[in-house]
Amino acid sequence: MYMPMPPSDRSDLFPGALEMMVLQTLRRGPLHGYALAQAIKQASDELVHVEEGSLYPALQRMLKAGWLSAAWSTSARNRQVRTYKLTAAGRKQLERKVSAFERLLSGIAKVMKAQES
Amino acid sequence: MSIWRWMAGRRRAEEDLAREIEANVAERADDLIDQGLSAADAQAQARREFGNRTLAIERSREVWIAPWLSSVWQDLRYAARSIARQPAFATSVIGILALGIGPLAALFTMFNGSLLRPWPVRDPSSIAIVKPIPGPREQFGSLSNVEYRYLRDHTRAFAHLATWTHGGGPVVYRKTNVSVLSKFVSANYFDMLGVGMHIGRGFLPEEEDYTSPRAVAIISERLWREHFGAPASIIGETILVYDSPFTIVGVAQNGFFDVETDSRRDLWMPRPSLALVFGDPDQNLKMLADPRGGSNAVAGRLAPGVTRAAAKAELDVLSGQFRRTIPMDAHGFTLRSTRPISDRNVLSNQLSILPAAIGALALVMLLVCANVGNLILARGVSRQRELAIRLSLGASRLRVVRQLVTEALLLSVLAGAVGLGGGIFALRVFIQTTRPNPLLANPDPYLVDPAVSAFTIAMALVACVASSVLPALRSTRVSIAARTAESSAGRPGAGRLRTTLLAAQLALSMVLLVGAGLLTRAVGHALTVDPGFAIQEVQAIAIRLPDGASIDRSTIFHRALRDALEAGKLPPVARSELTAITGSRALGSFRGGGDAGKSRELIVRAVSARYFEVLGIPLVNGRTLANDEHMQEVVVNESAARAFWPEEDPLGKRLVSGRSDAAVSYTVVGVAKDVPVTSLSEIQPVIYKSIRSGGLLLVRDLSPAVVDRIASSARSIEPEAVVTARPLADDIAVATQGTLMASRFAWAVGLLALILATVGAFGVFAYTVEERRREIGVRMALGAQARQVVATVVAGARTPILVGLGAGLLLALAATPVLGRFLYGLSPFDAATYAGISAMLVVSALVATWIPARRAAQIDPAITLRGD
Repeated sequence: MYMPMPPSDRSDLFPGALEMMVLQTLRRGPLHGYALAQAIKQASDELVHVEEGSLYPALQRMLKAGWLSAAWSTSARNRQVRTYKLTAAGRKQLERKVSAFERLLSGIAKVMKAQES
Repeated sequence: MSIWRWMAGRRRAEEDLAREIEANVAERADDLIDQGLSAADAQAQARREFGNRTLAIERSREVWIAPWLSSVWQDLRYAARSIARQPAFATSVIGILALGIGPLAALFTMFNGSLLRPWPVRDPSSIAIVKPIPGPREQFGSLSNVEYRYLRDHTRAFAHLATWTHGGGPVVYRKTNVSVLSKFVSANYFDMLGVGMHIGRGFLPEEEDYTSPRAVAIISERLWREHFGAPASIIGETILVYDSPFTIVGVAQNGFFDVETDSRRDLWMPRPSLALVFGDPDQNLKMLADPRGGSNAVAGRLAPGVTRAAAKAELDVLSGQFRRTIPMDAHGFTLRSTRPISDRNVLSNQLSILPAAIGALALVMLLVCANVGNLILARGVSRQRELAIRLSLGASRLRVVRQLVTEALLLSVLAGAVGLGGGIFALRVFIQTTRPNPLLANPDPYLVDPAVSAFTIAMALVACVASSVLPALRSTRVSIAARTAESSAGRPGAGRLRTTLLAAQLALSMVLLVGAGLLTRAVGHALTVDPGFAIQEVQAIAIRLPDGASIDRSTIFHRALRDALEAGKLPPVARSELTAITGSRALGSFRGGGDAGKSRELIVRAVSARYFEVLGIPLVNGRTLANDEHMQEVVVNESAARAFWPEEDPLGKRLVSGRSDAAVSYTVVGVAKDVPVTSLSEIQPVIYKSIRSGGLLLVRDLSPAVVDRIASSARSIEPEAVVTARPLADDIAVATQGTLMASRFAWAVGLLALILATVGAFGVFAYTVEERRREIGVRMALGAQARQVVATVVAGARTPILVGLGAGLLLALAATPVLGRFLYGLSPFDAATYAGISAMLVVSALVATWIPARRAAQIDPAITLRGD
């Protein structure tokens, strides 16, 4: 029996982290979904594992918000794939996200230090 | 953006997403193969790593669709699956609901087609029908043709103002002879309607010539194609209309049959050319040239931007100007829409039948909802565990109720579609079998248009809400713990609701069946009732010349026949324009001579001097009419005499009809006993005038010999004369036709109700037995006899049956007086009807409970107890 659930990311990441990493990764150039997941995995030294099941809804959300644009193209293995590209709005969103994230991170760091001393 | 384009766009987007995910999995599999896995393992692992594909797609969809919409979508899909799992339940619910919705939808389609639909032409809302307002002493307003032309020539508010009058009769083209309905119209009639020509042209203004009428005609596309073989050369050819040659100038655009909803017209001729077809041309033209004469039908298309109120104001002013010159009082006009319902006469005609029919069908609808409610309630019980699990998993009660209502909604909408389809089909069959002449019938009025669809959907929604909300609330109410642990111990609450619904069903069936029974008894009663004259002993003989005989020839014939009959070689023969009792009537306005005040409507019957003698209608005062049509003598019935001269002797008094400047005065020479003339149930004031030639022959002799003698007398004048005879008592059968139809309708509805109630009762008790299976098993294990078990179950049924019947009796007693004049004097409290129907209901209720009770008695305690 299927009962509806509230939409949520089921990864252990905090809210918005997946979006931020996707935007950051796409700054270096357009990628298709699988390549994007692989790129994030490699860049994090395999510490972050992106479950594709949550990657695609996130991509749809960002498409709808206008941070990404998508187009069909051919992969390295000569397969029809949809590649995602950062838009100007996406770039701005990334800057906002990163600065907010850095503030949060430094805040957390201060708390941790205060507890140590 | 339309919803369909949006949905198509969504579907494409989801296909794209599925393709994209497929590509993702394939890319991953290729990587895994590169790492040394076998193709099959790589494929499997890639899929595993991707995770839940459906969930990914669903959550992607939620990004685009508002959450509430997507949850409605889920509800619908879940409902569809849950219905598909129980086809028997779904079919019975849809079937029962369709029985309720279908008849109502058919009735509404009829109502819509004949009353609500505007004229089937371009932009009907800008057309206004112009009706003259009657003056204080007039029955109908007057609008002469001359005044119409004055208004037409001076109006600025109307782009086109047209007039018409109806006609009909045989049309001959080459060897083809068909009977059609026609219209005599002003030259701008088609421009006013906005109807074009298929071939040829419309009427020219000079063809509406009131001094020397032009014989030109326009025919319908259907007449041209189906009956004349669609010759392209028909423009300029001649047809005969009542023996007069007319030149065809145009064929109207395909599908145009004029604007009436209950008939279709296939022939149009200029208004003045009526003079060429009927009667004396000079006389006719003189009438059309009389600035005070007649009442013409007029309608116009408003000029752009002009309101109806402004147009009315303009016409009132113009009419005032015109009538000052005659001189004549101006009373102004009312402007109404082309929807037939805006005509008060049409409405009051329909309103005599419609409420009863709607009431009966609405009761059936209630029954249907009660029945379906019971079914859903019963099913709710068998779904208890499912519902309880959902509730305990955290679904809110509202969400589960919504889910249950959505299921009912899906079922109701399907039932609405089935019901509407079936209803329209039945309506078509009914119309085709009852319309005497399909050639004249308009096939279009009973179409499914947006109004019908909206009504059906509304009915489906009503059915859904009425049948599902209460059961849904009920089945989600009990606490979760109690429900999951519960096996099948009965719950008294649901039982009470079910038996209440059952009692209500019985009560409603009772009302409907009593109505049906009374109407049937009334028809039988009417056939035996004495109308007050010798209707059973009289024969009515109609004599006419073959079709196509000229009017002059038939006038001469009827004069000669009248003289032959009055020469007295035959038994006494009376003549009458109409048969003795008939709904078709001629009305006239009369003023009492001394009384200069208000005029009264009387029913006018043209009869010969011997009418009262032959029919055995006693003259209570005075004598019969003189045997001379030129003497302006009349006989009135007692009601008319009382109405005009309550205190005085009516003999020798004068009755005046017509306008004051052209009045005709009649002298009352006799008073006849009151007998019914228009329907069996009413006595109305009647005035009997002298008939000229022709008419129906009435003879107080039922033998065929007398018919032969009259026939041979007629044939000695005209060898081709056609003679038909029938008993005058047929009038009663014809007069009760309406009640007979009503009784059939009532029986159909009543039996439908009875079936629904019986099935409902059966369902309820079958379910009760099922619910109490364990209890009954225990009782039988402890030694109860089968008879005792049956008695227990039947005893449970006794209260709702008795309460239902009692309430039904009271409701029926309160409701049946509505049938009043359809009962022909039968009391609406006719004991035989009530007793018979009660017996019928008791028997069916007992059958419905006894079968489940028998089944209870056959329960094997060993099996039942082991099952727990």
